[in-house]
Amino acid sequence: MSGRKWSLSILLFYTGLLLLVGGSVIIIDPFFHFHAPLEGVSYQQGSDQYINDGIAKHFEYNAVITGSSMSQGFETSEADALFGVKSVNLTYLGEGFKKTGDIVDVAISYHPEIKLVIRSIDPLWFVSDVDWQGHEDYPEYLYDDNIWNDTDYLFNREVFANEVIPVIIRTAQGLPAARFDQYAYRLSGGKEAVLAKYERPEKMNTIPDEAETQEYFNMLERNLQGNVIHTIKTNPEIEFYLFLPPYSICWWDDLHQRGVEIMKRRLAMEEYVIEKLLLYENVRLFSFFNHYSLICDLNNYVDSVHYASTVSSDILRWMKNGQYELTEENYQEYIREITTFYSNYDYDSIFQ
Amino acid sequence: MVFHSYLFILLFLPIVISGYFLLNKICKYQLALLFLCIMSFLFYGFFHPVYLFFLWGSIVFNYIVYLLFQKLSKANHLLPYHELIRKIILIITILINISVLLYFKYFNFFIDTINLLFQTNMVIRNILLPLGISFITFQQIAFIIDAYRDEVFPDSSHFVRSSSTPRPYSKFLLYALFVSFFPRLSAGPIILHTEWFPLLTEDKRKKINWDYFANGLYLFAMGLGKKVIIADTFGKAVDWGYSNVLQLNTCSAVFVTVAYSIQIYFDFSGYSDMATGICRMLHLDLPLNFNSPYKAHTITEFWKRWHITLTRFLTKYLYIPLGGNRKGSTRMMINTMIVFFCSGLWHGASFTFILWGGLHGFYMILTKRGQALIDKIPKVVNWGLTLLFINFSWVLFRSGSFTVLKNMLTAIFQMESGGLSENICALIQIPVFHEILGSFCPYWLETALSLIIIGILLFRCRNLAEKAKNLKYSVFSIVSITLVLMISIMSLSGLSTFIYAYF
Repeated sequence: MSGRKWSLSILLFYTGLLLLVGGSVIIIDPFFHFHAPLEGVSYQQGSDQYINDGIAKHFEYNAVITGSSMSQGFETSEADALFGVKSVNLTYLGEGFKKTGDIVDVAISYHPEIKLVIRSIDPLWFVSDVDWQGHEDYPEYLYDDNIWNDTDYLFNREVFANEVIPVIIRTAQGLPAARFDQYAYRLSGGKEAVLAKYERPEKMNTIPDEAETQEYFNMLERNLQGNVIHTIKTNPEIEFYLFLPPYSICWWDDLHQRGVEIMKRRLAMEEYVIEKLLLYENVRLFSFFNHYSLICDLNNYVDSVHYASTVSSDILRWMKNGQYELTEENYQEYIREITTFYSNYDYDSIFQ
Repeated sequence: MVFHSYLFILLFLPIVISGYFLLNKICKYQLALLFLCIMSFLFYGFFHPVYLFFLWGSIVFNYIVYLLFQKLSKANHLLPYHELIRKIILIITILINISVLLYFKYFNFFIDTINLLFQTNMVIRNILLPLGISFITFQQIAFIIDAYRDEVFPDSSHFVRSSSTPRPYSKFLLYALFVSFFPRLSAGPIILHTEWFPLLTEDKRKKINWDYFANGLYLFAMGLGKKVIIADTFGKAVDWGYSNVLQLNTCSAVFVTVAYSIQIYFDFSGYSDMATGICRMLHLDLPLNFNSPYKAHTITEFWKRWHITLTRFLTKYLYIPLGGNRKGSTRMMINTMIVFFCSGLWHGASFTFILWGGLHGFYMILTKRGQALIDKIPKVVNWGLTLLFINFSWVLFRSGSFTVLKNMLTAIFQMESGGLSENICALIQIPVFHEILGSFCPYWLETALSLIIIGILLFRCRNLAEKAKNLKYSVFSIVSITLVLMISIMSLSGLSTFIYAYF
């Protein structure tokens, strides 16, 4: 064999393999970067950081469920049945308002027919920089419109081995496709499990620093305006079902241990957020912090903040029925009530 | 732009090779060289176009100095103090080149040192470091010194006229390409103009040579594999180890040092192999830069096998002008230490690099002085001691600061019991090897097997340069090279594992 034949054979062989691999990624497209899922192909549940952008751009829907892990337990089938919509789950594990706000904007830009957005407004992320993201390593090649960096997707060994091949095998086996809302991994928990993970801080009586408090409120204002309210204002025809996730009594205990004034500052922030959000007619705002039997029963939780999947279903139903809704007329009474309750609760009883 | 990127492999390199040979085929030889030059500029300025101003400025300045030396040589009988003027110009030019290098690479190190010594608070600057500045500077200093000695383009034998082109090649173009040629711009090897100019102008090199091309393709593919499959894999463990040095027990700390020895060799030599491979595909040659350095029996031998062109440069342009070993043993020792301190400083702007260089210089002196004793020791013992020294001296090289150095040395010598950290084992996942073994092999076994295979490659197998000389054109080699190329290309991008910290 000559050097010419050898070299050209390698170049031909390698070009053929590249076309095969790249072609299969384009056709299967496990992250829906190029197109919607193909009929008859058994896709698997992917990681939200990789599939959300594709779902937002290429799926057919008119409603969005988004937020942090607090919304990941919501099943689209339940939301569809309750609200009479066709929804997709675009939640992000470990993310704050920025990423969840961005994906809503993308969804709306690709689907102007969207009529409903269900979104968690997590108190844990109130005080974050407006550009803060929980993760740095997002696959930007999936999120941007630059076709030149799609090579990172097309010729990616892990995509091919862990996403494309398994899909082909699943399809050959006749397995059903994933629903892409199967993040409901927290099926069970219970009091013992919650307390095993919860580290109670030492009792302190911290008095919040005024300058620090002002800075926190400034950050909250920027975060809220930039990542939540902006989308609400620019889309008056979309109904936004926003809810404050019901963290467990352990979360309140943590605040209380740091100091009653710290807790009151947190409640003041919540009041601030409620006031800002209730200015918009297309917002339906809900909070379950006054659902004391839920919050104080740790059997409803898997850790100090995450509730079990059954609670997710309840939340959807309550929102649809208008239960625990906050309005201009009732929010101040709500704040007073929960302030009194959580300031005076017997937190030591949690550990008995 | 880097060699191990989709853009380079799938677009840039095919365009360069096709464009170069196409232009030569239609007898546009100077245009072909200009094309290479422009593509080199594109490569250099890809991420930071502002780099190009440095490169162009450097090329033009040094070429003007060369022209000045030429004019002075011709007018030597007219000018009084002719030789003194030439020497002054040489010194000023070298100082300017070194000053530019010092500013970009060492200004912040200088500020940090002043702050440390005099407890001041001078602010460091955000200086954009031009790519390959050390290589570019050294190469041009060598050229200027040779120009001073009238050893550059002394007669027509240094650039051969093409039989089809009446005019000689543009010297400026040859020089610009000599400085900027992309395969060796960022990581060497350091080439001499005497090696380079004849290659660019030889008629027979204008046409594609398929044996050269095959050789080049082989070297590029395998070099890419060394870098992406092996070096980057071990690099993850090294990065984790050095970021979590306080958590390491002795076993893990030692493993991290070994992993770094593997990473730096496969990374650097892989890059050199890719550079050589690209040149071979273009029917050009680069000097050998790595020759199985971890097989060296003494430190002297190590430096004849590791970064060979740097050793050559420092020997020719620093050690010998200082007097070498011609002025007695004391002077030899001083000269050796100067060369190695410079080598350390050249590698990085930190005291740990200087210490690394000094340590090697010291060991080199000990070896030279104790050669008679070393000759009596069994070769395998010499090899073991040399490898041990090299492995641990890399700790200085990688640490970057005395704090990290201290922590790593503490971790190594604390004699804390315990096995290899699971976190480290989990990171040693050589592509495809991991996919095959991962499902039934515990992490530690996979790591152990990986080390064994690397050991065989390093100590028992011929290196790529040796294998390339005996490349067999067979179906087996077609399949294996293609697979290495495919696995490497497909390992350029992965999927991030998002650590779920709390939410």
